[in-house]
Amino acid sequence: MSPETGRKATLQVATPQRTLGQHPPREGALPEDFEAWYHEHRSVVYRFVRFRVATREVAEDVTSEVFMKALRSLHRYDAGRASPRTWLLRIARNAVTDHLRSLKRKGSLHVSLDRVPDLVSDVPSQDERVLREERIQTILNGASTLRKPDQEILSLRYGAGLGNQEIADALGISGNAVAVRLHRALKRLKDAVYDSNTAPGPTR
Amino acid sequence: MSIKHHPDPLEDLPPELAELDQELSQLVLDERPSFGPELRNELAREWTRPSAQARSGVWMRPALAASVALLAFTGLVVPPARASLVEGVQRIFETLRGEEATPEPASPSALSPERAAVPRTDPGVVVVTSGGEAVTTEEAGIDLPPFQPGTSAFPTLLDKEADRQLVRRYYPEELQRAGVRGVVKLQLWVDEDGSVDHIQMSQGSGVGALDRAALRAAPELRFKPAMRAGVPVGTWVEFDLVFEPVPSLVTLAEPGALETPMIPEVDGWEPPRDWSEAAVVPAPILMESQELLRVAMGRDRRALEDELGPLEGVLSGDPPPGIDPVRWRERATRALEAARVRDPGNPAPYLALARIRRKQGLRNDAQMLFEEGLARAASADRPVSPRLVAELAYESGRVVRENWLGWRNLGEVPAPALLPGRCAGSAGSPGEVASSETLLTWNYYCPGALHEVFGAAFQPRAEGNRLRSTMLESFVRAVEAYPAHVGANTEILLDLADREAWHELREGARRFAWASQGHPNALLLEAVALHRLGHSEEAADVFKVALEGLDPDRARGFQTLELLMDGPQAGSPDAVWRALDPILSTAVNERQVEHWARAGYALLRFGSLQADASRVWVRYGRPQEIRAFGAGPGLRLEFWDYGAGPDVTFYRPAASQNGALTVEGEDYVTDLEGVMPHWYGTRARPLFALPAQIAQFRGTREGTTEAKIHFAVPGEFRSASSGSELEVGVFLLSASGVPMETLRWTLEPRQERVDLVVPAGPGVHRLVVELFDPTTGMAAGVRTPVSSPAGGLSELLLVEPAEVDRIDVGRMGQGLRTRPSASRLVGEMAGVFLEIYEMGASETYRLRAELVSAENGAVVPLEMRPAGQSLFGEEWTRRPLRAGTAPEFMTLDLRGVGPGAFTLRVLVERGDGHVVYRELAGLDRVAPEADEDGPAPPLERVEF
Repeated sequence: MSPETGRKATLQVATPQRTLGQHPPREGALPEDFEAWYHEHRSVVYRFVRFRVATREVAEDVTSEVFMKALRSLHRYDAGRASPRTWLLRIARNAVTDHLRSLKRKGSLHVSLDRVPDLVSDVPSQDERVLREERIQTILNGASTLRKPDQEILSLRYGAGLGNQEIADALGISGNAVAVRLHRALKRLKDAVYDSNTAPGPTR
Repeated sequence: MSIKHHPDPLEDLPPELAELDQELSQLVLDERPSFGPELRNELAREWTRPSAQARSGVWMRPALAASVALLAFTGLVVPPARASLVEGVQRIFETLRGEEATPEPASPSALSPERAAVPRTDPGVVVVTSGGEAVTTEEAGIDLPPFQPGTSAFPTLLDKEADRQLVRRYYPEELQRAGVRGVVKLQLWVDEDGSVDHIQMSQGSGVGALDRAALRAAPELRFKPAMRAGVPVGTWVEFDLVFEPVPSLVTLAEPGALETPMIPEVDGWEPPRDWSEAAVVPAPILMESQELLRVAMGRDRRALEDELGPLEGVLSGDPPPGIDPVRWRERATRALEAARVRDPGNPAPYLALARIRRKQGLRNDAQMLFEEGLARAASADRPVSPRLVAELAYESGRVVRENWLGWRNLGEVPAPALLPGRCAGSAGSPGEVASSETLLTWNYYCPGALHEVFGAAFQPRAEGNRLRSTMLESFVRAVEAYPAHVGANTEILLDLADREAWHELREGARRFAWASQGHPNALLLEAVALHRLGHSEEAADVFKVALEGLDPDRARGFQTLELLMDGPQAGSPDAVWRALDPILSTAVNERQVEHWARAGYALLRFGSLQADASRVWVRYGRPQEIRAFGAGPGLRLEFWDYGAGPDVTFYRPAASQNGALTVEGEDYVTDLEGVMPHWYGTRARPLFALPAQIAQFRGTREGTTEAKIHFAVPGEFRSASSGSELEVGVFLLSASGVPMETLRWTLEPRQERVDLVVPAGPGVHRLVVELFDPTTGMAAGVRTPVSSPAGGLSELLLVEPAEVDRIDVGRMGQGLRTRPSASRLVGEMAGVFLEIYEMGASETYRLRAELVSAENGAVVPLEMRPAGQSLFGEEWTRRPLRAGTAPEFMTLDLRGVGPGAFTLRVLVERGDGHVVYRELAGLDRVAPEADEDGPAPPLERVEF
């Protein structure tokens, strides 16, 4: 462990939601297609990733990596083979796999020093915020114990919000197989979420 | 809240699953609002960088495409060849690549995709096709890391016509007359000066005489050398020699008549002041051999010298420029054969003849002749100087060395060890060994699986051991005969370095330095040994002397940063190195000395700092393991293992030390260099992580901070130094890494705890705390960025629980006793101290504390009580005593918190409704029943 990162006390400020107009003006141009894809699919990619990784910061990092990679290999994109969304999600699947593999190699799940709660908006009260946050955490924790194919299909449906046919395209399987796999994955997730109440961990 | 349905409902779900589906469909996983625009700007910056657009050219990489084709069939996900070698250490070069960092090379030449334009003919690369078609990465639809174009080119023939004539000259006349034709496939090592050094035949013509002719002709080929980044480098090329019959007449002159030989006198000789010219064959040996040769050649020597050129060339086996090599070689051979007959006791003709044979790739002939020469020298009826004996023994050893190199690190993996399905490629049948192509594919796509296979099933071949001892015996004979022999000494010492026999290396290098009156090779190796033995200060001095004696061109890579960074550098190398000094308490920069040590070894082992192997060695140090595999005739595939992640792979000619990166290796190393230009590694003077607690508070003056630093002297230091004094240093660094202020203390011999308060003014970027034992050289340190606490909260300080009646809770208050261990949560209670700033006089705020599990992110609220209170509660509404800074000293109830790794978070809801919080990460909750400190965990080594 590097002393640089070893003992870092951190500060995060949960600011009120800012609007996009408050951000610095755009600094440079992106290729036109890419610009459009970015705006259209970024949230989908982010949510897909978020469903698979432990924290929001990691989700941001991995999402950045996905778009960086996509930008660098833009010339390889072939519209005849996949829609932009499927292509981006394929890169995202690889990126998530890499991230999880790197955690495994480190033999540690110390994922982030700065954890920001998931919800900053759309919440009426502080108490409800905490409840919702906990519920999301429970579900994501449960999902993270599933086998990789289960996680993948769940994150495509509930993270990225894809329909069954799009999932089929992304995974290269038939629509029927998607429905069957989703059933099974949901069943296993349900068991995992119930089990998590008795899982080891700090409880009071 | 509105109910949201998934746009594509699942049919026939049982009720309990339908409910979960519904809930999941409503899950809000929104991004941070500013994330989208931030990333978009980052992407635009990346896109407008010149190199990014250059990368969007189309790259064809046959070997990668081949591997991908294999993978595409098995449906594997391809990870980019990013290194886990760099995991956790990405920041090491931030001072190099940060604000002052190197701009991307943007010269026009750097953007031209020359590398793609030149078809590469790496040996051993097989383009795998699927259904008769090559499959590219694009077609396989797999995302691979971008390829960086460079100013690289492969060797090309200088003069094709001249080379055609050359081939004709070597073409045996009788075969030409008989119309025998053929193609000989050769693998040639083309040096950076364009000459051919090593020759391997990869496929013969089927006609022995043609094959031999090819081996004899190949050294005469002249190339325009390969270029990397504009610098000529040696490389390995595949070359076909085509023999087509053309009639030709060759006549050779007869040797001259005999004359009674004269015994030469070799006068005393002074070593040169500058060794750069007399690298391997020192002048006395040359002088003496020439004298002996001149005598052996007898009366005709003048005529022969007119015809063959200077005897120096005859001795080295090289024709003078512009001379017909066939005639020259034939004449030289005849003249030397005649000299052998005429003067049987004279070893010089053997030396010259053997060298010509070695250059022809006829190693067995060569070695026989060297040994014969040695026998002549021993039984001579005249005095032969020990220097010449040494040279013969050294040359004999070199021939053995070429054989031995083919066995070096060689091994194999049985094919069944590569379980099908774990990665791509068919492993092969039982009884076979895994092919080098399969291993290469596994390495870059499933490195973890391959490491397991290597660990369990790599079978080293022992055949090389005998050759290695024979080789070393020859070198030892050489050094015994003449202790200053440079080549033999260097080889013996490099072998000691390979075996990490540092004491022996130091002694041997000192003897060599003494005998040779300070040859730079001796000094370089002595310094390497000193550094490895922990005497980095002494090593630095010796390196400086060694570099003065080196040819400036060869020494350049030591003093500049060109081996570590591309393009022009901001700031001087000294400034860059200063910012990377791992241990500030010492008088020497261990990192720079480590760089010198690697460069010194690489220069001697690989011949040049520009070689591929040197490039990797200097950046990342010695691999943990090198494994070599047969990869076709006369070719080895080497895997350099640097721990987790793919190995770096080279192809090298079996008879050579010097390999070239494989296509995949080149790609991987380029990728790696972008992330981690240099790795300090584990073989340099160690630095341990100091388990100190550092909390920063707002200073009394505007813009300043005050750091409270606490640590217990680790047991390793107390026992190692046996009562000697330890030094504590605090270094305040500027943004460029230059110490602005240095504070030093000496600890009492038995002092166990250190508590410091260090103010830091504006401009201080980083705080370094080090504990150093001057007796043992052991150091532990911690580095942390300095920032004025923003957002109205100080950092958290972990302390002993507050006493119930304690109300003086100030930062300097007596009641604040820091915990001895800041990384462990022990006992039933723990105290935490923080300051809340800019507090209005009547502002109320709410306090909460929670533990966040590092394993699964689960949040556990903690009960607590502020100092002076006796009851615990999950949330406290508080009002400051006075406007300004409100100190808070809270006791946390840890009962019921099970073991695990946590982040402590303290949240403050200010009067205006904003919630701010501070976290303390990396806390280890040991068993709840452990009340006080158990034995401290051992110090962790810092890697960067």
